[in-house]
Amino acid sequence: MGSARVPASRASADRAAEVRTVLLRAVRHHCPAELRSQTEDLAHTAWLRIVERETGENLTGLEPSYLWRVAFTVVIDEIRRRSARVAQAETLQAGPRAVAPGPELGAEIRSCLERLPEARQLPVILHLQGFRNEEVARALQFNEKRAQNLIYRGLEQLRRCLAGKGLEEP
Amino acid sequence: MSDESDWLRTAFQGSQATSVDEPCPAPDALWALTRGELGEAQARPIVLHSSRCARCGSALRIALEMGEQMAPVFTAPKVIPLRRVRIGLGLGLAAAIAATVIVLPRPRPADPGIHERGGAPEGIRSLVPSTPRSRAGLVLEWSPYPSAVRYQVTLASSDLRVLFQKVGVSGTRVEVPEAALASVPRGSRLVWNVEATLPDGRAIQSAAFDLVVE
Repeated sequence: MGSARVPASRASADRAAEVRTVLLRAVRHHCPAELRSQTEDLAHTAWLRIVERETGENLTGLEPSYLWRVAFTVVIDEIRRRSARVAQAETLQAGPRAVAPGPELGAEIRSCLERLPEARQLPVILHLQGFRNEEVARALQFNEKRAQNLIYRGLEQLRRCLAGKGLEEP
Repeated sequence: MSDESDWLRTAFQGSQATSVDEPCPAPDALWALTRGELGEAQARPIVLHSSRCARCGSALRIALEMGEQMAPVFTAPKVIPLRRVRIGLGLGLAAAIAATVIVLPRPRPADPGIHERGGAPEGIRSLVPSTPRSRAGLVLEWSPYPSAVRYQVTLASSDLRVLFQKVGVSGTRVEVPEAALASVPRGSRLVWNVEATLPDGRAIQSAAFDLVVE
């Protein structure tokens, strides 16, 4: 796939611009928490790398599916590189990484998640990670209705389990 | 549901590991997963890893969001279960064409001039007459979709080779350059579709329409 090329045209230039826009938006929406302050810079750096990586080629002449794949790959590499740098800096600063509120509750949630029927575990975990129902469905290759059901039932069971431990919505 | 579980999300995410000990899947694998290119046996470990590793969870969501905006996929009627809904133009077109064959005919609006395959009746409709069209100054025109901010139009040959594509169209018509049809024999049947982008970023696909060029 990577070797396929199509002639550059206005349409493909538009497409490259669209990929760039979508890339920026997706990174803005889903950038890992530790890099949230670097979102813009990260996305722009990634785009520059895409351009550099295709040196000698006309970026706008790349086959669309290849361009999308490259854009994703490069941005994830950049995210991983930066995340590793942040983690390293935190290690050097010694102190334990600040954890958002409720680490104990987090541990209890995990313990309750382990008791869920297997089919519900993964959809609920992805939901708690912030995935929308349709994203859960696509990641797990379900239809959306099924994902929604599994999440709904799983959350119900999770809440019951937590209530049994005296943990309820504040 | 999401509002009620916000406190759970906050607590869960706050206690989640940024990364885990096992190696993260390659970006290509995450991409392939979201494109429906992996079987369940290959996909599940990747999703499982991403559910434990916040960084890969983010990566997976970026792939899903990017995938939603990718190349046009032609809407098939809901009665046809399509496991892979975003697998590129060729298969998307094929799905729409297959849908025409598989689904029982439904009553058509009294407009014999429009040919279309698949898609919801309330969606974008072709305004191109069904009579053979001249390749000089061929215009693709469609009905506006409510609140659409822009459109993407794709024209392909009957063997699903893309002949012309235009993104970021603000109106509801585009003229196809004659040069784009240079390889098309006279009397060929072509297929085209439109993707509308809504203000919230969602994309709405039209059915696949067909036309004949002189």
